[in-house]
Amino acid sequence: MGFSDQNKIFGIMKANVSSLILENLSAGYRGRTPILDELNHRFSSHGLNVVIGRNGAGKSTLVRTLAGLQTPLSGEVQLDGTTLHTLDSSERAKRIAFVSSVPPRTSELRVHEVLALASEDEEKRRSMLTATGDPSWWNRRLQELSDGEAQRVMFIRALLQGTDWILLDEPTAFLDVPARAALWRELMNAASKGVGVLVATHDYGEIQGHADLSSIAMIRNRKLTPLSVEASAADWTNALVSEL
Amino acid sequence: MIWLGSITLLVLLVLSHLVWGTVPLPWRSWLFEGVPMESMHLLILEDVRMPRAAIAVAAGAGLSLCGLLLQTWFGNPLAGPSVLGVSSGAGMGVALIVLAGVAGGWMATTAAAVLGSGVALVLVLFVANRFRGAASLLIFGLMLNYVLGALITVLQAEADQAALQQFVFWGMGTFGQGSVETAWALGLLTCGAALGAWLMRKNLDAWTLGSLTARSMGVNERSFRWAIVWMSGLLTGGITAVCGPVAFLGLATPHLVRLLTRERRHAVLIPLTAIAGANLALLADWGVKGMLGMEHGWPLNAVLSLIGGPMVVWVLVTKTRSSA
Repeated sequence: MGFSDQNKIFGIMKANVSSLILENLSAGYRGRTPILDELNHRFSSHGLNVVIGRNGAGKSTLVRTLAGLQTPLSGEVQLDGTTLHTLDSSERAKRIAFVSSVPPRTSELRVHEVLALASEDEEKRRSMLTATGDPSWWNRRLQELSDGEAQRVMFIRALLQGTDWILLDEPTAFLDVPARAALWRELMNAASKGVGVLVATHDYGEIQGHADLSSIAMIRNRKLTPLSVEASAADWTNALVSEL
Repeated sequence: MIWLGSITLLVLLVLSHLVWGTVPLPWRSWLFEGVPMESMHLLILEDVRMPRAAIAVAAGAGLSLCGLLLQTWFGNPLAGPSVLGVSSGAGMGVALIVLAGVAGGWMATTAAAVLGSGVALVLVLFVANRFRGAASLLIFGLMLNYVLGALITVLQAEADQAALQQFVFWGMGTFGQGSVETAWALGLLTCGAALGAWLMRKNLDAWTLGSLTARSMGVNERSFRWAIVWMSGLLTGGITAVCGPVAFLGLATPHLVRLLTRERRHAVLIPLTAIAGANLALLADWGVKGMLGMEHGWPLNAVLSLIGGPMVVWVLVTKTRSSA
């Protein structure tokens, strides 16, 4: 399939760059020490943004807060000039999609039924599944797919939501090596089409080899620190280890 | 095919309940010779058989819908109004009215049952938020059943003879104690809930993907949760007030429908579960009406447990086999 076909499937090459801006953002659970403290940062769509951090550093908290699924303790998230947490859930779903770390294991819906929840357009659903997954999954139940396949279906569902942003919380945590590679390929592909992709991961090695990352930031000590995209995984690991 | 079959069965079952009963009605002469029915026969038809059939349909459909909603909300195949203590909550409300004599009248009984089931459901929701995990939720429902059962026993020990007898008969469950008015009330309640559930069908589908994913797809968790609490509370409370704590229907019907249709979309599950629930209730009422050769028939809950118990086991066995 040529690039022009894929562009048609992804709708348009998104022309406008969308930005997610963190302003003095503190996040976590009420009544406890914030997990993330007074963050100021800017993520731009058009490209693949990666947030790395150790287990328990606050990656999930960050992604959920940026996806509007968790209310900040203080400060705010600006999505192209709108305060994210003032949007109601249906407006928010038109602008930010989310993929969780755990592929749904109990849902017995068929793949085409899951995709139908994100887009009414059957032709679009079919072509997206063909381009980004496997057309033979169409009639299979989510439960019958492997974790890797189910996670890719969840990503396709997120793509079909047609949002500026797709936020993924450790999407490869439960996947084996080939499934990880396949998902990363699809993430890069979507990012190259102008969808803002933000991935949180603890696996530094995984990022290596994805040369066209547009930004990397590291969570440590409750802060978010931008890192050089050119640095190697070894450097990132060193940066993390130095805090121990 | 399944649609045609279940609707045909529903019509036949309703007709059978109108035609047959302890008092034979002169259908033949009315149908073929045009002889009008006597007023006593009309009375039996309009005040006894029609409300009873209508209540069975409404209660069967309503409880089954409630079971479907709870199973989807909790992501737990064993959820249902009687399992999670929601029916016991309604029972506690009725016990306070009937046994302790806090107030009187069917309005008070119904209100107390609705309130009781609502409170029980809010408790269950609270626990479900605190302790993720299907097993702890079911154990909580079981314990709630025990505690409420114990409180009801205490009330029973203190109650006078007449109230106790009334309560024990209510506890066996029946579709036959309602009036024309209660039949209308339950009918409207169930129709309203079915419509409400139908409007939420996409949210219910999305919810099976997990609450975070569903919320990211635009489901407003707060209003969704309250819709489920209200609908389940009103359905279970209203039906329990009229029919007693009806066993198994809410738990078993959704499984039967999933097994027979292999469907998981709520757009299909909601109407078929309602129809199947009505059919099961009408079938069970045949057992109650003494079709098994007993003079007084069997208590409704005995019939339902005898059908429902093996059915749930069968569903679980087939399910494990197909997923293994």
